[in-house]
This record gives sequence, structure tokens and C-alpha cells, in this order.
Amino acid sequence: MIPVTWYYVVAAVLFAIGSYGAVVHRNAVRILVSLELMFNAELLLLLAVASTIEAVQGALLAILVIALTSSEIGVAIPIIVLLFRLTGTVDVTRASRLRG
Amino acid sequence: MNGVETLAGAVFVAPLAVTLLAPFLPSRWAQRLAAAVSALLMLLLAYAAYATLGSGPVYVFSNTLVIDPYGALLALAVTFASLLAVVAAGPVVNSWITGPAFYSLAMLMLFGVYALVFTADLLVVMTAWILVSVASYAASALARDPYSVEGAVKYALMGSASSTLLMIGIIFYFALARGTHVAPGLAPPTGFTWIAALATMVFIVAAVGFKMGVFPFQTWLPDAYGGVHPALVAFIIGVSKVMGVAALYRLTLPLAEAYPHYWFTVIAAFSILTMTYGNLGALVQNDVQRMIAYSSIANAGYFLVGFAALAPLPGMRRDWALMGIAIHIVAYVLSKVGSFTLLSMVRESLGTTVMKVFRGLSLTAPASSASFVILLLSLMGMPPLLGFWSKVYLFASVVYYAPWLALIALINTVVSIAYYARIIRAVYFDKPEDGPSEVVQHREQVAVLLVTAVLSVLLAFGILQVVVEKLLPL
Repeated sequence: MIPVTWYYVVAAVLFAIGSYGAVVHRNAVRILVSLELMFNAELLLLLAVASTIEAVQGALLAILVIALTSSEIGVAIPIIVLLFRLTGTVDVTRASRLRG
Repeated sequence: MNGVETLAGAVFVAPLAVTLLAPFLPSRWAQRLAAAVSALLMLLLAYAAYATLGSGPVYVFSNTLVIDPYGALLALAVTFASLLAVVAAGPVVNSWITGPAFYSLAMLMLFGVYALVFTADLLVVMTAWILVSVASYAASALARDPYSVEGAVKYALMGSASSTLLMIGIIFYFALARGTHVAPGLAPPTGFTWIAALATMVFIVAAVGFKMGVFPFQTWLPDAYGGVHPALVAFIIGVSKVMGVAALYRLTLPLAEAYPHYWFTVIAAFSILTMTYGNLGALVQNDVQRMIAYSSIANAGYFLVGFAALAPLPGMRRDWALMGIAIHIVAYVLSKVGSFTLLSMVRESLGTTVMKVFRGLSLTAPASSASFVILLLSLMGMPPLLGFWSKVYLFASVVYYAPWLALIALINTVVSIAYYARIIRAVYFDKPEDGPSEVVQHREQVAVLLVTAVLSVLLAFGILQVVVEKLLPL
């Protein structure tokens, strides 16, 4: 059986990749994808932690979070599409630079 | 305690009902419905505060929610802010095709904030947090102009990042508490528990910091609050501040009690960085809306001074801290709703909110300008206004344990006078270059400005202090 520490390590690595992506990109869609990666890393961490605790709420929280993040993406994507229609770009730093 | 459960049910169902109905109504009727339900909710919440007074916190719905007078007060403050914002937004929002959606989303956010204010379970915290966040992303994009939408995209991305951080905080909290119930009695910091304790604090403060504008998570805030249409910001700014304060209050009392030294150090550090950054940032702005957006970063720092004082250390006045937080929430919400209402008038009439257009505003809009200046003075902390009393309580709460923190907060307040004075000078003393700016003032907007200004003065004369003192949980 794989020790639970390994799951922590994988989660930490995934989270680091996600945060790197979220910080360096200016493209709104790429940032969103990076944030999703971070969420999935956390899901792994949560399930690993929950397996060490005798409480059913860990699994409940995990299922809840899967549903909640999809709702967040469901609202963020239409706003990004609206920005693209209005300005022709999904670069989140462009409009404020134009304003000076 | 069946009565309290029914009451809580009514408080939660009312905004949800408006949320579902409003999209099918014309804008004007949706607005009236939202305003009427907000007023009704204020009565219900005031009764909830009265009913639970002296009986201690009441747990309802299988221990997932806790009704206490302090929570009812926070909920009352945010409901009042939403009532004012819904009334003031009418003349602007009703002309948009997305008008009814604003009222629907506003009530949905209110529903989420109630859940967060009365939460006693991590599952509720997470759900309510996402509910408020998602509704506020949609609401901030309603104006559909490029600046608003760009602000909304930034707000949505940063909001998702903040949910990510909250999630980690909750996982560590879950590991510490070995369950999802939020209650005092966390494991003492032995072995590796202190890492989990520190991580819980840092991540929860970071998540809340994204919403409230705590340094270094504030970068999005001037762009979002400075770009999104002021009529929408007036609502979102109050809701997200109360949401942050409520989440901190609910989640951190057990943390602060279990690990007082870590708690004080972490929060004091965040607090100093935040208020200094906010005030220095505001000094160099040339756009009044952005300047007031920076001032809300500074105010997040003042709130954290109070939260730092919640650690039970020798000499900490935790009762003063809770009083300061509650009064500052009211003062802050009144000032921000009022001043963003004025900004909304200016942006609708003149298309911009740069400092220049505020010159001589008092000549064309005397009542609104006078109210605006009173609200700014209250934010600045001018005695005898409400903002002065909240700052006194917030800063005095740490003064016995850490006088240096109170001193830094005081120096920051002095710095903030500089930029508030610039706005006041422009409004009252500067001569406009090419005639005074003509600002279209709607009756509702002027009324909201007057009400917020009058309350900032009236409540300061002991009324709010006495009420809050009675409601304290300690």
C-alpha cells in the first residue's frame, strides 16, 4: 500500500505547478486552467487527509467542492467570453494599460 | 428552540424567494420587491438579535448554523447596505437590459452572506463562500462596458484564487478539528500540529484577504473597484467586506483561542502591511474612484488590528476589539455605499471620475457634496463621526499588549488625511476651469447619500456603542 505521505507530495507538486501557471500567465483562460489544477491538487490533499481521520465529512466536502468549482468556472467563462466580444482579447492586463 | 429555527428559516427563505422571482419581473418591480424584502429582513434580524439576547448562541439545523446577537448585527448591517444600494442603483441599473438580474443576484449574495454570518460548519462555509463569490462575479459584469467587464474578469479570477486558498485553509482546519464542526477546543500546538495551525491561519487570512483587500492579495482590488460601474461596486464592496469579516469572525475565534501567539503575530503582520500599502497607494491616485478603492485596502488593515486583538493574551481588550469591528463595519458600509452612489452619479453624467471633474461639485450639487464630505470625514476618523469611534475601539483594543501596533495604525490614519483632504478641497475649494460640472442627480441617489451621512453622524452619539455592547458574545 502506498503511504499517505506520497499523496501529500503529489498534491504539493500539482499545486506548485498550478500556482506557477496562475502567476505567470496574462491570458484569462490559462489562469483559469491553472486555478483548476490547484483545485484538483487540493482535492487530492483533502482525500488523503480524510483517509487518516475517522470522519465521513471529508468525502462529503470533496464531492461538494467538485460541484462548487464547476459552478465557479460556469460563471467565469461567460464573463471572459463577454470581455473577448467587447475588446477582442482575453489578456487581463491590456485594458488597464490602455487607460494609463 | 423551535421558534429560533423557524425564524432562521424565514430569514433564509426570503432573499431566496426574491432571487427566483426577480428575473421574471420588470426592473422597477424587481427593485421594489428587493427593497421591500430587505426592509422586512431587517425587522426579522433585529428580532433575531433580541430573541437570542442573553440566552447564548443557539444552534439550529443540526448544528450547522449558529444564531447569536453579534452575527445578527453583522447581518443587519449588510442588509441595510443592500437596501440602500438597491434603492440608489435603481436610476442607473433599471435602464440596462440586465436590470432585473441585478436585484436577483443582490438577494442571492445576501442569502450567501447570511449563511456565512451564521455558519458553524466548514461545509456551510465553503458553500456560502462560493455562492457569494459566483453571484458577485456575475453582478460585477452587468454593466457590459469594457472597463466593467475587464474589472469583472479580474474579480472572477482573483475570486477563484481566493476560493482555492480558502479550500486549503479548510482542509487544514478539518485536520485540526477532526471534523467539520466549527467550535472552540482545537488541539494544542504539540508535535507537528503547529504547522497545521499556522497553515490554517495563513491560508484563511489569505483567502479572506483576497476578498477584503489584504496585502499582498490586494492587486486586483483597485482595478476591479476602480473599473466596475460604481452603482455595482456600491453593493459588492459592502457585501464582500462583511463576508470577509464574518468568515474571519466565525472561523478564527477557535483558532485565536487555541494558538494566541501565532494568531497575533500573523494578523498583526498582515495588518501593518495592508494599511500602509493602502494609504500610500491612495496618496498617488488621480482618479477619485481608484483612490476610494485604495482606501478600502487601508480599512481592511484597520479591521485586522481588531482581529489581532481577539487573541486571549494578557492586556488584550477582546470586548473592545469586537465592538470596534462591529462599529467599523457599520461606519465603513455607510461611507462606501454613500460615496460610491455619488461616484455613480458623476460617472453617469460625466463619463469619468478623475479628480478634475470634482472641482466645484459643491456649486452644482450642494446636498450630495455635503453628504459625500461627511462620509469621507467619517472614513478618515474625524471625531465625533462614527468612523472615529470605531477606530478608537479598534486601536485601543491592542494598546496594552502591543502599543506599537496602535501607534502604526494611528500614523496611518494621519497619512490618510492627506488624500481625503485632496478630495474635499476639490469638491469645496477649487475653482473649476471651465464652469462647474453639471451632474444629473436622481432623487433616490440624493436620498441615499443624505441617509448615509445623517446616520454616520447620528449613530455616533452613543446609540450604536450602547447597542453593540449589549450584543457582545464575550
